[in-house]
Amino acid sequence: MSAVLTENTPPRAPQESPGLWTLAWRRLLQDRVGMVALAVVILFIAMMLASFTGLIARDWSKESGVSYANPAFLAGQENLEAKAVAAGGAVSKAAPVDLSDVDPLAPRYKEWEERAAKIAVTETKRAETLAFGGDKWGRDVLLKVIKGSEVSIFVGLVAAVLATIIGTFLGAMAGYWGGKTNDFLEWFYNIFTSIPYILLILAFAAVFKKGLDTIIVILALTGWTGIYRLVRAEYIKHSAREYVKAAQAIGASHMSRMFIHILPNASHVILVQLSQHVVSFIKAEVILSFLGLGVPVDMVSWGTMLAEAQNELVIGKWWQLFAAGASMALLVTAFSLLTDSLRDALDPKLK
Amino acid sequence: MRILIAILVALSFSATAEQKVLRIPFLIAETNFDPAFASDLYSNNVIDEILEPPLTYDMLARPAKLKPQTVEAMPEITEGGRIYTMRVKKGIYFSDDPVFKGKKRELVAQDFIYAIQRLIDPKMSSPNSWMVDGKIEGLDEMRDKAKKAGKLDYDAPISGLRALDRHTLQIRLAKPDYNFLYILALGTLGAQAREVVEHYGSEIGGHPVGTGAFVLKEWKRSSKIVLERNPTFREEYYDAQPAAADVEGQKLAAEMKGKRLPCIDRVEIYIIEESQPRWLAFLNNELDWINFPYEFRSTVVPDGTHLAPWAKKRGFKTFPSVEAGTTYLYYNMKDPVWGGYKPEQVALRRAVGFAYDIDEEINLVRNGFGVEAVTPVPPGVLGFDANFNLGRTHDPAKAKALLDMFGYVDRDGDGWRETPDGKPLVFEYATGPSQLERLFTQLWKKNLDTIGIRMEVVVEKWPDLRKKSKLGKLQNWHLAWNGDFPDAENFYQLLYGPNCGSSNDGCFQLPEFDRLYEKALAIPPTNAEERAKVYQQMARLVAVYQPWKLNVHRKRIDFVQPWVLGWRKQQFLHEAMRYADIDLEIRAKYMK
Amino acid sequence: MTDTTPILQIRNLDVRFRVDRKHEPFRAVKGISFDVPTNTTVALVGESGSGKSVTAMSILKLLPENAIVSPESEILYAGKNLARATLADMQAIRGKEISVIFQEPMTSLNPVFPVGEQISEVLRTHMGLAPRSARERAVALLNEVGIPNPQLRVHSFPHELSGGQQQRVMIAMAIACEPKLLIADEPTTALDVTIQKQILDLIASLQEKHQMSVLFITHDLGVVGDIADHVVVMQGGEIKEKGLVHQIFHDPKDPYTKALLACRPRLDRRPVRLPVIEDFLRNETGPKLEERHRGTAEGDAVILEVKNLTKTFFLKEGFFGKRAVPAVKDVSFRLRKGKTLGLVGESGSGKTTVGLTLMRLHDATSGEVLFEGKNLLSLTDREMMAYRRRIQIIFQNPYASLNPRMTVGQILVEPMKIHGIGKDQRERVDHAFSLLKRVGLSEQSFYKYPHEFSGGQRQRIAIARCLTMKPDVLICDESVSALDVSVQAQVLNLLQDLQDEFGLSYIFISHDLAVVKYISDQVMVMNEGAVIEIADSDEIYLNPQQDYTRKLLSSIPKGLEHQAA
Repeated sequence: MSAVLTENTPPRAPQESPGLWTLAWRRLLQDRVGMVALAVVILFIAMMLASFTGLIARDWSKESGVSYANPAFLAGQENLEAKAVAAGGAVSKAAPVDLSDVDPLAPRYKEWEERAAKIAVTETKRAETLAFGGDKWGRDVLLKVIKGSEVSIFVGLVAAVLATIIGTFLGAMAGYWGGKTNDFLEWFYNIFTSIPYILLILAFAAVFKKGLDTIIVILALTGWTGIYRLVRAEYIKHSAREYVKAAQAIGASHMSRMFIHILPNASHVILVQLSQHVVSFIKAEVILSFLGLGVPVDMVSWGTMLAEAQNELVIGKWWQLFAAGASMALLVTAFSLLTDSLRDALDPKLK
Repeated sequence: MRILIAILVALSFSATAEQKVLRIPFLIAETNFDPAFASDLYSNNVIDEILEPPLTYDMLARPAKLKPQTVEAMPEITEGGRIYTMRVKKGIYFSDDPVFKGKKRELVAQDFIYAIQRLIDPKMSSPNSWMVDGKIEGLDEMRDKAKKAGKLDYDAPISGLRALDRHTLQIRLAKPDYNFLYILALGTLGAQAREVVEHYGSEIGGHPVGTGAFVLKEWKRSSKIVLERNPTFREEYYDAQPAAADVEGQKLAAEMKGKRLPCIDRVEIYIIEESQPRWLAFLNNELDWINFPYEFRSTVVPDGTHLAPWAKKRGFKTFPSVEAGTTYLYYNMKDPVWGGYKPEQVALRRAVGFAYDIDEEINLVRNGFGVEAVTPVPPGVLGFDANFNLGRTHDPAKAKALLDMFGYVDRDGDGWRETPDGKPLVFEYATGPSQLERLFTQLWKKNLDTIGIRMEVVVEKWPDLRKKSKLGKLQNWHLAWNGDFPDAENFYQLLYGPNCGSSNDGCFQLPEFDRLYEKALAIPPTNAEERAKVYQQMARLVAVYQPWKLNVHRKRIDFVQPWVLGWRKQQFLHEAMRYADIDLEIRAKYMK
Repeated sequence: MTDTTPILQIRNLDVRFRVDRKHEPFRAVKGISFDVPTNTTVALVGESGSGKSVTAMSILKLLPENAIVSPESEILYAGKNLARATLADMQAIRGKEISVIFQEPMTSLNPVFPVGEQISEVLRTHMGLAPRSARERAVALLNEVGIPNPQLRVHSFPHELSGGQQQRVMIAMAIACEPKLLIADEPTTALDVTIQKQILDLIASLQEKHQMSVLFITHDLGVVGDIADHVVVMQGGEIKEKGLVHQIFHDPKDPYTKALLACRPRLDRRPVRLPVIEDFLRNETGPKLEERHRGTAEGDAVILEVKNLTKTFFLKEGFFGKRAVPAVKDVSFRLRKGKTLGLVGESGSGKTTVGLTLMRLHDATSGEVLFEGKNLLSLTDREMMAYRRRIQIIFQNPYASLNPRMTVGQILVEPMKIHGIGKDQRERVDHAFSLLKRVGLSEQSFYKYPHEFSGGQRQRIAIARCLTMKPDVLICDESVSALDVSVQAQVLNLLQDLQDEFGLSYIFISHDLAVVKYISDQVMVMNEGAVIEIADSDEIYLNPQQDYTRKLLSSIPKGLEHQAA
């Protein structure tokens, strides 16, 4: 109580003393594992953004190498697949049969020949090795991983944010209002969770058109339940707290109490849930793509890479599996560790 | 007392003699073993061993050759291919069944008629009715009558199907068709005893009773099927006639020469859908033969033909072959943009054909397990012409030139071509969700991108797409056809105009083509050369109008364990376990 | 009192807690020594942070993992140094030789087992009794701790018992194995005053009956007088004074002890301002105390009149059933301008509900609340806004009533914004600064978050928040109950000063009769939702009219007054 009636207080200090967020950040800074995890996550997101804006991996779909081009560090290894392709293309044939008697296009054969001759077809030389190897079509696996991160992380992040918004909003409603609202939302929740998850995903997938936005919507619509429960519990707990009563006493409105007073106090739960869902949705995208419900054919994601790699592994082409698997494992691990650190840093009980 | 001793001796003998057990895999689960109900390959593999049609194929002859099975000689064909008369062998009995109440039941001509009648029974709504639909005199009328009555009168006489006496069968066709011989070799037409079918009713699919070499012993749906030697099988000896130049065939024939059939005591069939466990089971000697899953090519047959040293050491016998089948993408000929017979419409399909890189399909997607198909007819089938050569079929420059010539150019500058009248041009590619299908989709997509045609992908499950395809609601679709018999007719019927709405999914209707089709049917097989010439004419029409973008004839390598004798794949005989033997000594050596 | 060797000797006990890598470990107990003689009750008294609980927990080795007990520390029990004992040794001692009662019985009992089961489990594990005899013994124990119908009650689950009964069960479990030493860690703090008295009596009688020693840990010197033989006063991890209870109360040597004794409001005195610790630290003898007169007169203006206020809660029962639980029954009173109405009663008496209902934080079932002639209960929400600011409330728990995610500045400015007090942000901030100063906080506090303040400071912030709205009536709902005695005195003084300065009217809700008597002009006694008695405070304490009031008053720990008188 030394602060009692201190005279001659210094002029108003403009700097605010550390807030909870600042303190959480400081705690996070002290957590070495957390910082490394954060760095990894930031790196991945930076990579994703760079790829999205076309700074890197713009040419990912270019078939720059031979089929299953060896990784640069395995340059000497025999590549039977590429050999087979080279041999297969070389078959020369005898003179073609003359079809002009039946061909409706026969009158224009000459024009056709001339025009075709004018169209230059440039055969690019295909590289024998690529930095981290090539896939079946000879595309650079490294570029594919980078490009694939775009879909995987984007889907994970956006779906997780959407799921969190839905879950938080419904959870706040149920927890704050209680009564009929709560009963209804609980009923809805119970019905939703009683359906097996994969079945739910498949059901949604059957209704919506296939595409990236659909995956996001599916994941968000199926993934909000866990967040809803936790947020609801937080709101039940907090709306009985005295600071909320105090806010009511000073005349704060319901919306203000729900979202200005309570929400920041449940934010640690929400934030941790958010990052956990990013992780699980990245994995879910992989599974969806694996099942063929996911990414369109002219896009690539880690999920589609893993699905492709499944068949490559048996013929000893492990690099695509490794590249996609390792990237995912790294990101997911980093995200999980970051989540752990975030929870430690944000939990008000630890202050 | 003496009887008792005899039984004891018999028991002790059967206990000591090691059984010859053949173990083979199925890739896809069976449905059931009612020939009128099952139309899938795997169910028919089993039906073929139990029920016997009048004719069968020579196990080793190449090209495939028909021979009598339950009839004394090849049918006598009269009236220019309209009347088929054959005499059923005497002394052939159905395998024992409680329905026969302990009596022997002899095979008679009526049993074949009954099997055909079942195919048109409206109650069965058999998917196999195409085999006889419109072919046999009086049968269609009988079917229509049955449809009206809601019940087929099996006792009513049909002019086209008659048992002249107990053992003489006469079939009168509605119009001349020499290929009906091949129909007579399909297991679906295998003789069935009416009393058995009527007794088991809806359970008949699990109780096939026939005259064949094996009987069904055990059936765990979608998991395991066990066949056992039919103890009452007639005395029949191995008799295959491989061509003299067929060294491999001669060797196999020598292995089996003079043996009484079947040599195998018991066949165990395992349904293993995943290729990896299937292949591993084979490597573990748990399977006796297998169609090599080509994913494993680089470790087993690195160059596509020769075994890797380790596999050689295992003594595997390998039989590479090209399947009598064709994969293709049909265009819906009724589609206003992609269908049609006008030059610009033909040009569009031809351009797409030139854009498609078949070498990548064969080498990258199929790991080299395919040969390019230039006509619908695969090798080994009458009508195949090895000299039919279209030159380079993958030529993007020609494709672009053709599109430019006919006005398929990009008018709005979005990078994609439009139709000559300026409407959007979209190739709607229908496919399924599997990884293999995804690879095909990728290949199509990048090839069409190259020539500037926009492709949209429709992903749906196969049965749904099939339904749409049958209703003509797809713009195009990937299909494969496996030949039922070694004549091009079996393939060209898929393009025969009148078959639009049944087997001709793309509804290709070119009068010229149809005329040739009908002409070929009327040429007796004795005059094969002339027939082949007609088929080659048809191939030319397909090549220029391109109702199909032809892809490949699939290659396969059958791996057979060293102890299996006499067996190589005969496509039209399916698995033909009755012609195989196992050398237990060699087996014991390898099993050590 | 047999006086051989003490049952427990604590020598140089020194406990530190690691906080994080950067900081020095925090020293919670600084090398203290004291004895617990055989068959005696020793009271360990101190405010929060004094290290009293850490001391108790180190005896049983129940400290958290980041605690470091220095090697010199000795806790001698029956010749063994418990500070060095292995976990296995401790297992044998815990519960059997030394047992413990905690503050919160509800959290100490396992909610999913019947209480009888929990008692017999202790008997089975420590005494090796057969299940049947353990059950019988459990019934006997429940009988001994004064639980009615013990045969039936053994089957009850903890939540089916009242708080007092739960604490009795805890005591039954603690004495089940006839321990030689019972450590009671604030066992009555969470209980009502009447229950507290019963529990204290029970502990005293058991101590005598079982000839055991009791280490009684409390922050409340008042309790100590009734029960303890020896007193150890701790502050900041050090022992300030130890001695016989008589000596501590009559002749405290240490200024801190003196202050502790003086700053608690007493029933027999009512100084204008309560003395605070600083007074004693500055001046050995303490300040001169002047008496204040309290009471109301008929002519005093009435600011708030409550008529027949009734509040009934409805509990769900089964699928569709509802059960009415009357919480406030027909309560009427008048609050006079500039005066304080004390509201006393045990928990569940409805006193808090009265406060919340008349502010419309609950909807009343019936009745009227007349404020300047307007019935607040019949106003629409919109109309109510104008009045909302004029009646404000200060909650019990200063840790819970401030939003931890808002700065003090935001907390103070928000209500002004809602009610349009002050022309602009600048004016509001200025006002907030002046109020902070008024409640005795630095201007720097404006930028800080609640967690950076102590409990007393937070309660000042809560008061400042109310003042921003310039209220006429302030409801103090147990507002000082959670505070340490010395801090309590400061906050009470602040409230008194504010009343004098702004002419505020208070409704002061508390279970602490001494505090209520000190601050109130008028006292209303409530029980089971109904008003028992309402009168001027001196009147009610000197001359209670109702039996219930008399019972309530007799439960106040008298030790202090008796000893000090």
